[in-house]
Amino acid sequence: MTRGGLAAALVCAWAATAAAQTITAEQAERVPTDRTLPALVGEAAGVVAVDGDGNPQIRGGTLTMNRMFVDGFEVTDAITGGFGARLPFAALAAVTVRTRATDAEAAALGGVVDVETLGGGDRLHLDASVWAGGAALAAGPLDAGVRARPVAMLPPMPTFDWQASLAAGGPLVRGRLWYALAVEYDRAGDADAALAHLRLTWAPGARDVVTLSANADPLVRGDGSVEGGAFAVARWEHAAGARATTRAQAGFQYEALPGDTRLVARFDPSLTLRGRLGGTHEARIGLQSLLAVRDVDVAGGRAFVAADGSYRRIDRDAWALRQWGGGVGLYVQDRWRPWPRLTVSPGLRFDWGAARNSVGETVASLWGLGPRIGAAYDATGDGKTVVSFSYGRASETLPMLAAANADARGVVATYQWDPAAQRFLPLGASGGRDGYRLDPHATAPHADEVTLGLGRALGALWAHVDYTYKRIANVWDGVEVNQIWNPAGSDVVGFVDGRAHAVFQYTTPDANWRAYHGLDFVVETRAWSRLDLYAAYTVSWLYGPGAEELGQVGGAEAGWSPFYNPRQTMFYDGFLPEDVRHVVKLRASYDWRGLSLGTWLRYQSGAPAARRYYNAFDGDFTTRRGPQDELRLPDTLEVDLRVAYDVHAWLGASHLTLVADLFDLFGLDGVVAIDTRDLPSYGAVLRRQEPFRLQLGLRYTY
Amino acid sequence: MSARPLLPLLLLVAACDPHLKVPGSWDGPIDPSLLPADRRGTIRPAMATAGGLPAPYFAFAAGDDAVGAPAAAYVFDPAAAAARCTPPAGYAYDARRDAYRLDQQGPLFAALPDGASPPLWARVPVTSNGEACQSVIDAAGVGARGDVLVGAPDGVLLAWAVVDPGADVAAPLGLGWWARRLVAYLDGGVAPTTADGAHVVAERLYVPTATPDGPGARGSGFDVLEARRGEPGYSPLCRVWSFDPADPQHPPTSAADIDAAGARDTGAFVWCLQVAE
Repeated sequence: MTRGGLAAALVCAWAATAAAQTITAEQAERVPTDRTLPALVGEAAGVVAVDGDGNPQIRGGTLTMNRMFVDGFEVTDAITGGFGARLPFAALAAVTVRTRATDAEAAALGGVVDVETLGGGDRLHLDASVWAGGAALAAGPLDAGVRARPVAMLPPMPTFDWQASLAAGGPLVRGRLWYALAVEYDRAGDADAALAHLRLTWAPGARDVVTLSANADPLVRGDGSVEGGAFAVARWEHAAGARATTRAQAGFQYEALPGDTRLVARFDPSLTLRGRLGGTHEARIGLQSLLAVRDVDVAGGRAFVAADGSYRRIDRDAWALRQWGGGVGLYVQDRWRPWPRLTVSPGLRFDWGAARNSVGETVASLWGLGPRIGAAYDATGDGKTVVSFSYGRASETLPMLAAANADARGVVATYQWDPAAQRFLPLGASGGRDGYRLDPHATAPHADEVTLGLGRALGALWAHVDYTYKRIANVWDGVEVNQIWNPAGSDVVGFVDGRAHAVFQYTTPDANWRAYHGLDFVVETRAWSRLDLYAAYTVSWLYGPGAEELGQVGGAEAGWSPFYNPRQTMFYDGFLPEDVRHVVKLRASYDWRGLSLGTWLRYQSGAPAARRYYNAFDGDFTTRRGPQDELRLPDTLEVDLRVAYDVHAWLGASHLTLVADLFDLFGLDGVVAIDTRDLPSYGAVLRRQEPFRLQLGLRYTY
Repeated sequence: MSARPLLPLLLLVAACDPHLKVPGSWDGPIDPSLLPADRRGTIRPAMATAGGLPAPYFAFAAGDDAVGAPAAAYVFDPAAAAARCTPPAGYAYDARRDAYRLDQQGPLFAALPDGASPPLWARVPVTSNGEACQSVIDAAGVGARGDVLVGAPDGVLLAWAVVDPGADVAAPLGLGWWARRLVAYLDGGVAPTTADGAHVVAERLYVPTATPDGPGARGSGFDVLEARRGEPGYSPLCRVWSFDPADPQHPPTSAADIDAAGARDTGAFVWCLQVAE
């Protein structure tokens, strides 16, 4: 390759990957992980996980704003936006976290997670492993919820967590048809999961490739409840000469939770064109379409709780609902090189989405137009110094989460016991046909993002500094519109319609926004086979009133949304709960004669929190007296270590690797959650980092 | 490339705070824990009569009748019949949306009461000059604003008891500001002073020694005031007198029915704010 060609290749690589972090299966197997996809996603700069239950917050987005793709097929949960599928760890070939909205092919307000699974080749491949960990190999309770020092409140469960995995790939018809199959059994705590992934690749001719990818992830919990789902997608790619490639894929995704099932069908055709016009172009034009249906069946019931020195009765109606949603996205994305030192990536995307609730109402019909532009310039002409810029707008137009709430859900009625009258008196209610309102003029949530980057080759290292500004506007929320609060917001003194109930308008307020500034300093290398290094420091600011993440699910706005109690709105204008100022991530591994050492280090400064005071009307600690960032939790540091030895020398073509993973090597036991309620227990530690623990593995590969 | 030039940049960005809050926005209702216990929770008036009519009063502890050095309360356009600040265009008060009216301007309190503070404020008149209503919410720096004209204390003493706006109070509350926080106050009117301005002129509060319910005590529901709010002789400060009712089963309800010669001056004072309905 000529020097100019090398430089151009580096520029292209930068333009394509500066906004992304990829970790391959080989890299992932050299460092300690809990062998789950979220662990790999969390490795990228700009990704934090603050109480996201495994779902990350990426570049200022909430945990509901990410998109997840497996082999190009979107498997995002159509309702909540979280990861909608679990894959066997051994099925993963590479995981790429795209933290910028520069490519018109995807529309995410947060980030995009691309999972590439293993495809079979003409050579047989086997990967079998068994892993043991869990509480039996930990220095303290795992996931205990409450672990106050000095005495552990809950005894450790003396159980092992197990994972058994088998992956195989190879030809069914050499040179024509290949398979890759991965199965995994997980026993974690009291839950059993069986994961399976199959990928078939068929090349009927030199110009066509057909791929079938299917996955299933059923999970049975200790209480007998079953959840999980499956997806399958078929894709046909056809190269119509050197200048055009067509691709069409269709698939479905099914998810089930107790009383809640979701089915999504997708069809995504696209056309890629290559040519010359004032330079070289590679443009992709595509359509993405989906149809989603969700069925909910919730049992009713009655509960009694102590409140205000007396008792409350909460009656919940049973309800069954079906919501529909659909949407299309049209995009065109070009990659234009007017001359070798410059790559320009203009794009444009149009999205439309709508959803209907169980009573036939259109909850929202939203559209968004997203221009994209990116440029990367080889400043020194030798491919060693690259300057980049990008701007992009992404819109979220599928309002299934709103439809899940703006629906005729069962009434939840609360009664207060009156000792004098010796009976329960109505206190309030929510839900029901008149418990919500729609906003026909809602604006689609959207994110505008500007990035600047500077990259420089330093010997075998690639160092880059990236600045990101993102503003996410018109975020969905439930705006309570019926309760009249006193000036202090401590009690409801009336109701607009004269009836004691809450009414939520599900809409996208202009005042509901999030802003993110971030600077990443990254040094990485993939050039050395023995040494793999990725080190990133991110300093960022995330602020705005859009603190609410999932409150609109289940009517949990009280105490979490700025639009529930208007007297409390100002307390939500501050640094957001996911505002982690400083993050350091280090992934490093080194191999020497079969002995492998790998480490994963994560330092994170403390996340904001606020003291919450009791509100007699809500019957909960929903009142704030200061901004949502009035205090911060302590910083946390976790250092994990993998020691592995491959006895390859004695086995010929096979590898047998003994692995020991030491998590939280120094047993730092950092605080990750405290009691923020205004009680004598205020400040008490609710959750700590998981303690020092060991994971042992035995892996055979061929 | 040396990493040394990056260090100052790192330090600089780490010290940044790009988050700017909306100028003029309020900081929320006052944290009630900053107020004395008698200014939050349930606040009920003591039942009393004056001239045979009900005259409930809100009682707060008083040491003596000395004026002392009351903190300033900045009152906007005190002589104007209506607010002179500028409301938002087309504004109509919405009780659900608005914690306070945006066609009025609440007073600014220079301090919060502590347990020993009298509910007494030195009025500082402020003249509106086109400012938006409720845009001035902090006494600190009010004099430096260009959109209002701050006068000198005019010698008027206001008997206003600052309370938690979330308090359960059986009377109308005014709303004002302390350090960008919304506070409420019980308006006990103007406190009359002696000619030298050193003392508050108190009215008498008669407490019967016996009532139909047993021995009398201040606040037991049979107190008698000399004057009701708005009548000559009204004062938000009361000097407590004790008397023996001729018929404890039917205590007097007017000071005119009390034998003043037989009444005894206890020497005690109490703030007795009567709030206009």
